[in-house]
Amino acid sequence: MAVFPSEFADLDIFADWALPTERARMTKRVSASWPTLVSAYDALAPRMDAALAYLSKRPAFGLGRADEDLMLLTLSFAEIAFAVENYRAPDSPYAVSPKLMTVVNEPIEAQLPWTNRP
Amino acid sequence: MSKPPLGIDAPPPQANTGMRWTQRHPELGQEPAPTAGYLDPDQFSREMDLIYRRTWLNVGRVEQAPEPGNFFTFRIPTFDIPIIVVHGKDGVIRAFYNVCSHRQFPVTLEASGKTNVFTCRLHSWSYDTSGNLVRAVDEHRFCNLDKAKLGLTPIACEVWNGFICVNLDPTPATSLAEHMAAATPYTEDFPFDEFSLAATYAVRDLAHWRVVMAAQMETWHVPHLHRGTIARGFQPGENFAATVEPKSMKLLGEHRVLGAPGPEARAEPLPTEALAAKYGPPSQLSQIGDAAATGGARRYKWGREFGEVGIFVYFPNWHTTLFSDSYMLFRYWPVSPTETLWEGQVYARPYMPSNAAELFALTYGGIAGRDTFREDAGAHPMIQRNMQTQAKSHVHYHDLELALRHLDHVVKQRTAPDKG
Repeated sequence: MAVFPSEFADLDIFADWALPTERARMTKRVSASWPTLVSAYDALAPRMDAALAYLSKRPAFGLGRADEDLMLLTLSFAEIAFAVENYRAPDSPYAVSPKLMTVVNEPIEAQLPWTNRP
Repeated sequence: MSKPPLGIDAPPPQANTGMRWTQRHPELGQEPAPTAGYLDPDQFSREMDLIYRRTWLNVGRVEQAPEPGNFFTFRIPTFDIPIIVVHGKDGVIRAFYNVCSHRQFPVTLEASGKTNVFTCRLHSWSYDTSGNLVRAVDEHRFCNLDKAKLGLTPIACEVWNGFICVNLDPTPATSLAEHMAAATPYTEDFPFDEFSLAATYAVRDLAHWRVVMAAQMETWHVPHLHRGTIARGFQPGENFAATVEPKSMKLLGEHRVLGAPGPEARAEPLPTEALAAKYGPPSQLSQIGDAAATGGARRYKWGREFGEVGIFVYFPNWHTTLFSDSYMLFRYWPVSPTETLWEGQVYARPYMPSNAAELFALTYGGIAGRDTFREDAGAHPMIQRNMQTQAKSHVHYHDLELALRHLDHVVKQRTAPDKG
């Protein structure tokens, strides 16, 4: 389970969103209930500017585990926010299931080690 | 008044009126289109035999095999044919069946790599990058082995603008250059080779290949189906012509191009859009918006002639959507009358994030495009299943759906009874 840097310990209840691949984050978002997404959005949105300011001072590569988990949480927030702000639902009503789909976000995933996490 | 530039179909005075596009192509007819052809397995077989087995199919880009010795492998989903595409030591890119001459085991199991020889894992017969059999283990214990005739089985392979295409016909009726000739002038100055792969999507799309392709050949659905994704700045029904009316639509032999406008008025940024913009490299975000805002597409010939977004649909299995500084590549692989493997790839300027917050901005920036792909891929099976009910026998084409009429027409010509 993810553990975030101590400044962001208040976000530990969202540790299960620190997922290493876009496919995993997308799948978790579209599978989540609407109340779950809204409560995650409401709790995370006010903290993202601080989290991104923290991450903007750190390299994209070779992060320590806690920083990497925080970064992965921001990537899940991108999914959550897109659904909440654009669809007002976990997913677009006619979007295909992630089960029928593969996604590779090449520069971010293919070349970086954390996607090989067990 | 100055003469319209080459290729422009000069628009009539008022957009969004009448049958401005359809009227120009009486050869395509004006009748509703029957859907029986999407449902008939015999027609599907004819399309595969007379089109997919006999024309040039895009299988990749030269960046996938950039140097001599680089190769990639691939199974053509339509026919379950395993191929190797290899950049030979002599600089020529070739394609072969991935089948050993000895006992027909694959000569490589790798998805991609770099090698001087392919060595079959079954009994170590080896082939060079030109496909020649260079070593048959225990050659002296075979009867009358003629190594010169036992190279890898070639598949016709040619390259156009860096796009690698194969033709399963052992003696193709045309060269790739001839096949692409009508479309070639419009993209000759577009720097395809300056972009690199940024994202790949693939979906098992449970619909006929022409149902899948149809949505990519008309912009009219965009403000309707994609109102939550790429069309957030569009308002269906309002300012219709400015938002979806192609500035040009041109039939290019068996291919066709739509020049679409970019979004004219962008909506106020959403909270998380603003957050991504704060931490992200702006050039990597929202290429469509950038094209509209800067007119950047007009630095290229296609942009000057067709509009901010150039949708080139190449017969039969692929299309590119060109933006001002990036492009997308799509491939359509029929698997059955009701299933298509649909691939989409984003090519952008090579960019590596300089800090960890940019990863968030880049990821957020990719979601709208990815979910637009997911919306199309979810909509196609809904159409397919409804067609199968035969509740309706025809579809009706809007003037802006001329390209769909054109594809129907090309397929009809290619599969006419006198075509074998």
